[in-house]
Amino acid sequence: MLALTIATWKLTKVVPGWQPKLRAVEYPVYAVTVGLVAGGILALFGLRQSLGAYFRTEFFLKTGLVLLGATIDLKEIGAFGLKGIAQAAMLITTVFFFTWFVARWLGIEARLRALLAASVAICGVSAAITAAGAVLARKEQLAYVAGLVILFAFPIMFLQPLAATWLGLSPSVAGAWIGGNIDTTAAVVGAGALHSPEALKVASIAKMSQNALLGVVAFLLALYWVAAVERAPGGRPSLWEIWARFPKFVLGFLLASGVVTLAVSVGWATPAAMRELKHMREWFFMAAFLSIGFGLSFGDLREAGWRPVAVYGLATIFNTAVALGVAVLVFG
Amino acid sequence: MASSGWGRVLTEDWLAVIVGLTLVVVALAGLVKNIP
Repeated sequence: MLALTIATWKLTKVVPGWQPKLRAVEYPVYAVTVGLVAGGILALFGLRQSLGAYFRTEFFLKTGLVLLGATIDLKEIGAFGLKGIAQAAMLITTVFFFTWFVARWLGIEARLRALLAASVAICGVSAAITAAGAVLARKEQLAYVAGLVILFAFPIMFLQPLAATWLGLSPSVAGAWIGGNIDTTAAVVGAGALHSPEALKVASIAKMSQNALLGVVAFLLALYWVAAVERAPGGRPSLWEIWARFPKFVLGFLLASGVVTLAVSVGWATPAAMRELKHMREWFFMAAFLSIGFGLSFGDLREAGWRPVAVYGLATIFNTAVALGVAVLVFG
Repeated sequence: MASSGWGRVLTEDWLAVIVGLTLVVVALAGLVKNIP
């Protein structure tokens, strides 16, 4: 398991060096591929079943999520002041519910719907992972959505800065638009840098404000899931039932975020410590996606069909339009 | 509810929370360095 994770890490460093355009291809792609290949080879030797116990997707995912919480400084929500909070809150709610209702209209299963809505509305892969934990989504659903996020981020990263220049937007409006629309943080940085240094700065802060709200969204989503979607027929669930089924890692996520925010404000958290936390989180997520690849079933992927792609496409177009409107309204 | 004990209490969720928070404290204390 460790050797495979190291191999994945190596790939994430070596491949963008060969081909800089592949910068936007993030670790889930490499990890799932390595997992798939390893699963295939071990199956040939009849070892897949017996070694499967080491590929503990849930544990790696949830520990990574607690560490993700630790890299979110809650004070960053206010980094932009009221403007940033207003922009993030407006975008997250409108895009989340738009995606949710379009997906429901197309008959997409509730858990996949939650993953799609969270990933378009907040921050791509990490939001999809968080939502997957909150609603107990299947591994295939997470792999599918992570693939969609990366696939869509790639062209938008190049097209959006061009569109911003063509529309004659000021650097701060362009930055707010890019940060509000593009899902993955790596692609936000890429697109912002293609436009201008000022746009890059504003785009990064806009993205951070959205990321900082991830814990709140995860908490509400998990609560909604246990209290409304999965409740037993007849009557409201008791508080005890809600607690028993509530995904506890969400509390770890919020607690870690609170601890780090406190540590940053009193000067305990050094930049080096924050960097180590970020790296640890990446290792856990790599191990999680590796485990997903290991146990991936193509039958389940095919079963999902074209509809999630259509939902993601429509939601991205809607997100682009609303993010432009909000960016002009708030920063214009 | 009769079958309480560690097996039931220490679910994967809690294990992730314990491991995650321990790593946070360890990192903030400066006990881990140079993770690639």
